Amino acid sequence: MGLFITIAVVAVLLAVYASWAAGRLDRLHARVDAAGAALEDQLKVRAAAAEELATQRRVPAPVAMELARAAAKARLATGLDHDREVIESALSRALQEACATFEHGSVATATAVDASTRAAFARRFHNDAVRDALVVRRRWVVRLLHLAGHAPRPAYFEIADAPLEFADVAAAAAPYD
Amino acid sequence: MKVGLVSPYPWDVPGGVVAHVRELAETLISLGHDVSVISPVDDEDAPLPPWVTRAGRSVPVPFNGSVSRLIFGPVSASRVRRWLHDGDFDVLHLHSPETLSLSLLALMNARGPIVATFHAANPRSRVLALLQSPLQVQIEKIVGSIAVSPAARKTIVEHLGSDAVVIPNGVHVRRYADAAPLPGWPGSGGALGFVGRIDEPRKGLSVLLEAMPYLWKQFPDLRLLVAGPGELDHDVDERVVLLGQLDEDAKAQAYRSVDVFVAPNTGGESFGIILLEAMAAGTPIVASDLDAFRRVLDAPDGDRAGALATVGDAESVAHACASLLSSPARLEALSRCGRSLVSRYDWTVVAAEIVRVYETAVAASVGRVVEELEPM
Repeated sequence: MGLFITIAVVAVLLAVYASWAAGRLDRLHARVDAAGAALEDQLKVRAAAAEELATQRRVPAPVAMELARAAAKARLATGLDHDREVIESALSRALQEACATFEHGSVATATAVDASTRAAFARRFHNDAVRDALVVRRRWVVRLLHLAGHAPRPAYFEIADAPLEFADVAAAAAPYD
Repeated sequence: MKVGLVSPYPWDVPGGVVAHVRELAETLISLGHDVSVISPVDDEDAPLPPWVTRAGRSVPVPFNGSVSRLIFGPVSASRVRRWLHDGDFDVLHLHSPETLSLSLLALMNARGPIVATFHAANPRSRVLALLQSPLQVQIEKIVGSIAVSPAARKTIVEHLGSDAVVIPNGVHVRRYADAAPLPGWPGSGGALGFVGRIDEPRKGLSVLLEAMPYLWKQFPDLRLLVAGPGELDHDVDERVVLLGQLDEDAKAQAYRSVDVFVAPNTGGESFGIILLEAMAAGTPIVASDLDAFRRVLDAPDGDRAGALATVGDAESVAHACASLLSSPARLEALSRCGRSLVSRYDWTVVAAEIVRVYETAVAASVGRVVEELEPM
């Protein structure tokens, strides 16, 4: 009898915990999805800004061509898989090449700089959401009871997106990161 | 945007985080945003700007070697919930939610686009280590985190397993650049300046007081202007002028009243807002050789907006001050370097960066800020 009650109490506690953890995991997955969608949107905005920067006459022809090519690829890309990481990193490099021909604060680069900053923020927030979700998914109760269900395993999105640097290094280098 | 800001510490007790919240709110309002702040307020009669809501009094609790002023309880909780409900914010911006403060209370009662700024750089926080699990459930509701310095970011990476973008503290550059010196300062004998709590050992006033006699041998009429709250347990020379706690405008004037600003801090600084204020005022700096200070003073081209002195070493501080005071050309160069470096920390620049975080957080969330009690 005593054993039965103990088992019953443990089962009830486990059920309560499981339902709470499932709700928590649900919210975390929703956060990852929303952050991923925001990141994709922001990458699109960055690609558009890069295409525009590539049309600036100040940018030397080879650099502009490379930028236009990288931007066009990024504009057509979807999803946040490894291929996308390669494409977006290439765009980051092309943007850096182009910005190195301008002075800090130049009007021509303002849109691209703004879009790059926002994309970097969106990526940081996305990866933060991924980390929080993975921490909970790794718990043994969560794995044992399959609380994650069929939700796909969240993945980090890793690209090079250091702040853009300009010709006049003195005023432009990242002041605080 | 409709922005709800939460201050963790009492509005009427001077402090770095509260100053940050106030100046951010002022800047956002001047940029056309609709801002509401909720804050603990200790003095019921304290005058408040119309955009500040009272959350009640804070309770001082001795903790970890200092006194934390915490706020918790059913009254505050219901005020926070009503504020969240009435505010109908696009974004909720908490400050220092890792402390057991009003910010955590707001976090527990909210859902939606939530942004948090982490101010502390505290490598050995036992509190955070202890509370990590229950805190984590709340912290993971934050959509976008900001750290005010790389050191603050490192702290949350290590203690909360979370990450943040680094956006520094801001300073109202014009307020300092345009301030007039206090009457009678700096005077013909030269003047040094110190700003900070005078009885907080880590601010290092005692090091500077120890350095003064060395300097008086060479500059007998040199005065030291000291601005900041607190009590000293000993008398000081008459050439040391204690002005006590100053309001914002008088503080700006104080920076403009001296030939050299000295930051003899012995540690515990995450950021170094006093250096930004001195740089905005165009006042050359002698600062302790701390990582946080170097980060603010060093220009990318290798130039530096101040001279560094060995931490806690009065002779080194005296030496650095003496060599600056005897070289007007060097003073001029440091002043110029500081003014040029500080422009990127102007509140208009910093607030624009924070608004980008708000917009990113809104894009990465479903819906607006709503009040909802989450179980721990």
